[in-house]
Amino acid sequence: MTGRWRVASPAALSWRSWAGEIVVYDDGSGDTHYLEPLAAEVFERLLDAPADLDELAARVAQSLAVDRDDELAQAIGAVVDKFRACGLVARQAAAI
Amino acid sequence: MAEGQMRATGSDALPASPAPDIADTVRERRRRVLLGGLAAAGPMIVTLAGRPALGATGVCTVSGYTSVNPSQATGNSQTCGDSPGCWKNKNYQNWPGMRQDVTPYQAYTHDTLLSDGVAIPALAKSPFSNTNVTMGNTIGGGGTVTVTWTFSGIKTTTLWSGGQISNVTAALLNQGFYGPSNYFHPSSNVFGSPDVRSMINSYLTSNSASNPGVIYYTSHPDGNTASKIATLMTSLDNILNAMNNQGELCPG
Amino acid sequence: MTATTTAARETVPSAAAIEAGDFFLRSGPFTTRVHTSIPHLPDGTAQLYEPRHISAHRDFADFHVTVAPPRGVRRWYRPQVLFHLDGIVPFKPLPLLHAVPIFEWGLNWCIVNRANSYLIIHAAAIEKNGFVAIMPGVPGAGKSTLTAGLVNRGWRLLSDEMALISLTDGRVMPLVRPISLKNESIALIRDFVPGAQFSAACHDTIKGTVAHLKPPQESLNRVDEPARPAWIIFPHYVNGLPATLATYSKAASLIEIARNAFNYSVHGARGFAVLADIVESSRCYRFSYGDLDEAVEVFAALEPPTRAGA
Repeated sequence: MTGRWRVASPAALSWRSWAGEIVVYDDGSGDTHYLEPLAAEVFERLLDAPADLDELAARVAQSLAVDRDDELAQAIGAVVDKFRACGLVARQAAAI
Repeated sequence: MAEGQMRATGSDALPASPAPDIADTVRERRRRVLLGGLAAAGPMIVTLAGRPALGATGVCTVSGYTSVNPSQATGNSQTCGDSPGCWKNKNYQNWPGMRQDVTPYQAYTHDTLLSDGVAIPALAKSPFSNTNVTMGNTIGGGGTVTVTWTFSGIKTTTLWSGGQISNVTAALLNQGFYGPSNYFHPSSNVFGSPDVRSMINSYLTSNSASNPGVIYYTSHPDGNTASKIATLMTSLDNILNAMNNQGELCPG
Repeated sequence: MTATTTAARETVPSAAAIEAGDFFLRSGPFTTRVHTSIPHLPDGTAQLYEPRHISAHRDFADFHVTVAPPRGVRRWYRPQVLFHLDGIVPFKPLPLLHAVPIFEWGLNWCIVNRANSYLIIHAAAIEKNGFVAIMPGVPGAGKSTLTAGLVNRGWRLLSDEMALISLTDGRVMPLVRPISLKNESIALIRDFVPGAQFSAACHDTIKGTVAHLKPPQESLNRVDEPARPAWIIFPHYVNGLPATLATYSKAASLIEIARNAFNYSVHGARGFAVLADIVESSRCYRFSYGDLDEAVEVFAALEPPTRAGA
């Protein structure tokens, strides 16, 4: 899970957000995903800009005003892993 | 309750709506995160898989609209039918055509016939013992031609590891259980009887009689048996694999 | 998918056509041409549908359906009936006496498989004061019984099984078909609706005993009036449970209503957008109930969303 992550194909996505949750449709896969609040937050922070897991944890902690602890980091890692599995995010190629 | 929405600026972009109430969003997320949602008691992401259109049989729906009680429903009852592995692992009481009022379970035999004489295959006993399983199938008008597809003493690993036989078997089971022939089910994506019949026909007449335990008929009522021996096995496997969600786990 | 005939050219129901087993049946936006040699099918159809929706002639039919006995021994021995659509036989045959249910289910199948100009939700849709409640339902949710009750207590029936959503404006198009009820629900609705018109009950179907209820006359009269969704309500019947309406998150409602759509995948991003808009402008609930009268009261008290959003 090292390296930077980015939203894979933003142009293929449409989404709606209500009460902290998000539903996103991915035209590339034809899949529709319901994101619980933490996953929704991670998704939005990655939309802002690509990030590695450390940066992501920092952004989420700041945005939600919660402690940046191991539990948060672990949960964010799990979310990114699920995003990767369903094709919502991909690794960003390293800059030379 | 203030609600917000955001829309991606994709190629089909619609005008952006008013910005969401960010404070509400943050508040809600913070609340959920702090409430111990990090332990991931529930799924963080729930995916509704899209189903591609599959040839002439239409779209695999994901909607439940089945006359079968959900407690009996097999894994992907709302989709394209179940994989061979799913059928293998399923309690055989859920196999279509099984009479459950006798022990051991027996197959309904020739209980229903379609106008072209194709019966839904009847299954006898569990294929996962070493006793026989007979799939009786009458093909042809007026019951003039009978095909018996018997698995005699074939070990389960053999039965289900062979791509073709397990796939066609699963296709028959899907068709019997989910297919439009099952009173009502909207999954037109499950092959209908004429398609399954022609697939079986192709399979049977293109295989040698030395295939253990399988008995073939020698003539097709349409009279053009030879022309039906098309080498479809590879594409048939592919089609069935796609249709039967090969490799997918059976939920529940 | 509307018939090309105009009101002036619609013919009056032809008793001769029905008797001859060759007639056109209009249900919502669809026209079906029916051929049948089975006497009790036209009789049953005439009982359940609006007479002026049955006629001898139309210029166009969406579906060509034949309901007839099979060839071979089952024509006479334990006689059966088959449903054909354009020459395809999608179902196992049923006993001959079940011609009416097989026709109804067959017509459902036709619509679900062919009518991809709509987004079709496996849901009931009922309307009051210009606002539609969409009720998606898995089997066992009690959706049909609830619908049958509500449309006889002030709500208009748009559909009991398939909500047709326009892809252009998200409105619900009426279908107004007979309501399929089974087992205990039949007696329940007979009591609940004095004078209710049912088809003859069919016993020993795969669903048990089945009967079809004719929609209320006003619902049939207003088959040309689509309306806008205002509520998405996921019903759940549990005997003895008090009626409870609980707000359901919109995000969860969206994924659930998409899950209950027959042809969501066909419509891709457009389907997502249409459903998302409906969710946005609807109040979303889960509804548990055990008593039909209580359910009627809860529905009577439903407030439509305000213009600014739900």
